[in-house]
Amino acid sequence: MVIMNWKAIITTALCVFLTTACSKQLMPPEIETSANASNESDFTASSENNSEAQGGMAGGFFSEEPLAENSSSFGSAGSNAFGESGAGNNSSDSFGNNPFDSSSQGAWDPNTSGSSGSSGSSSSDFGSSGSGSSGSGSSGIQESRLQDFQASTSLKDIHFKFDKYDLDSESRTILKGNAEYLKNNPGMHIEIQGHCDERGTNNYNTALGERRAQSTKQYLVSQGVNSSNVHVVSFGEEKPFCFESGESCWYENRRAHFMVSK
Amino acid sequence: MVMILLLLVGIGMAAPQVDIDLERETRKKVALAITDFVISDSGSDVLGIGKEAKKILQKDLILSEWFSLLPEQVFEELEKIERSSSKVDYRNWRQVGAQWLIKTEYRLTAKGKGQIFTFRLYDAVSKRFLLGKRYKASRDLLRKTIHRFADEVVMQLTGKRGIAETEIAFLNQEKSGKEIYLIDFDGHNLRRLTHDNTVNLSPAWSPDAKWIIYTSYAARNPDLIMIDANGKKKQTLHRLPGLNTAAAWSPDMQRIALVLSRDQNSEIYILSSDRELKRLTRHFNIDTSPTWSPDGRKIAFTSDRSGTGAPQIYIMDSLKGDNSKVTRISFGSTYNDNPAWSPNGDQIAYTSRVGKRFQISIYDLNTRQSKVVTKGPESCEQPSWSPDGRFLIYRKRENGRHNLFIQRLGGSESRQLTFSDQGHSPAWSPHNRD
Repeated sequence: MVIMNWKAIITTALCVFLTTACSKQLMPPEIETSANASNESDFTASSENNSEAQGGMAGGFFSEEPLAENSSSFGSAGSNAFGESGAGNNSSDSFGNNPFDSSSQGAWDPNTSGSSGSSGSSSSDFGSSGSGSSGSGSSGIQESRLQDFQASTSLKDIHFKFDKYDLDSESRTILKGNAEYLKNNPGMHIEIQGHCDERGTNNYNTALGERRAQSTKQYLVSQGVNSSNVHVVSFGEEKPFCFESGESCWYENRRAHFMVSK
Repeated sequence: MVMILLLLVGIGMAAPQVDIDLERETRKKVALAITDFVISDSGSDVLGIGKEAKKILQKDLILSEWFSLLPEQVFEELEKIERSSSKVDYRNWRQVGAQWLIKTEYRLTAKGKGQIFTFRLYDAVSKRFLLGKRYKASRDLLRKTIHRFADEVVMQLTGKRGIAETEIAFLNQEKSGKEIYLIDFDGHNLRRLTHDNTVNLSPAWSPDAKWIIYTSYAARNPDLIMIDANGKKKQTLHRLPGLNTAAAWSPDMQRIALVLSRDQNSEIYILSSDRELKRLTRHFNIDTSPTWSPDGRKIAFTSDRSGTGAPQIYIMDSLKGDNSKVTRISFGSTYNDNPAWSPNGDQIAYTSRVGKRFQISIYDLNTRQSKVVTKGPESCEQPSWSPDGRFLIYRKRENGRHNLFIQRLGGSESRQLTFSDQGHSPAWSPHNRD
């Protein structure tokens, strides 16, 4: 119960902090625009621009108009809207599929997003440098995201029961050993990866992997490991260690896997 | 009789809006004659575009499951006689068994980069000209042009736009991860959208079909990414440490429901277009897989709040979340996920464990009953609705191979759409026309 209360307080604090951080737009969207992104899309969007000359390599043209029963099929070339003159036409419709038409995108559009100017060097910051979405607060959510992690033989993985994320006594014993090692190497940052077996659905397993990694982290912290040195990520069922269908393999895949900073 | 009434309504209005819900009525398919596409004037078609276009149209209208095609030899003579004139002898067409008739002329554009199609749709039963359409389009939009007309034909019949022009986004497992691909409803035009070389999850369309949001591990954390459907532009939409997953755009496109684990547990949040976050679920257990009702007022989601390891489907208010009544809708199965709210609003499809397999179930909000709609020894998962609400696409696992299948509601046959053996997480596009 005591643990629950402690959790609730931390959670609430985080909530307030993060909500504040986000509402202040400390978390600008990162813009990644490929080299040809400024080109027009595959479809020339506006109906005034359906001439054949438009569009370049990828560019097509399209126009559509209703037709009366007895009207001539193609009209007289040159003079009507479907002539080859390339002049604008009065088509009633077009493939309006231009993603750069900002009018209909609203605030989600990278083009119209107010804070797009902050892409670039700061875009991958994630706490350890003090900027980015997690800000420079002292909360435990600070992560060593900029670091690369590698496998290590010093820290042993633990395994879980099917659809469970709680730690059995064997796991606790292993984690106590891991905690001792980490306390003796206080500068070491680690990543705990939560994994699941292939059974179950992807979404649920992604959440379950997160729970496994989190419960592992919480136990390490309870053993005196510095929370801010522990980064958590769930891979759900996406990165199996073993690729066959069967309990021995599934057991292998239901694990919390440890990586250490390079 | 119903059909004739509908046709009259269809003729009377420029854009027929028929409220009668036809999906669940079993009705005979309309017998349709599609004549050869005739090249106009003295033009020649060395590329065989007319033949190709006719095939596309035939397939579209068969796949719509509204029409049966009249065998061509039945109307061969009649077609020959009428080819030289613009007259349609409705009685003769009725006599050979045609209810509807499509006549098409086309020619290539002068510069040869495209073609102009002129379609005419007739009803031989009520002896009426129903619809005429002329399209001018570049060569690369040939398929799209034909799909567009096929959807007009369906609209004449049902009052609702067809789905030949829609496409499906899905994940394909590659050596380096899962990448997003797109494929047209008819199984053509397969193309790769992302080159992220990492694990990607749960693609979802924007309501205007111009964007796809998905979760990517490209930055070593499951972040929410937004990419345009042409693959030319993308941005990171949300990247808090931990999960930024299972995102779903609200029907009005102003909000995104997504799962964050910033509270060390997966909870459902609403991200609004001004980047404000609002937490919806407040429960110690796992909450995930949000899906919006078409009116945007409710969200169905997955939670194991009734038992860890046994996720069930729930419905909550999209503004109040766990602060108001939350209703469980899945019973009788120990594991359920992937709710998908139907475009018509009255059904929710989801993945449900039946015995040792997964099957697709559909919950009816009126009767409050669920019904398993797939069967067989293979696992079926991850349902997604066609925008007209008549079809579901899902992933089927056979001997370790994963492919996507399309099945009409009320139909027992399914059609295999992908053949890579590595297809996952299908997401059916909304209608992508303005």
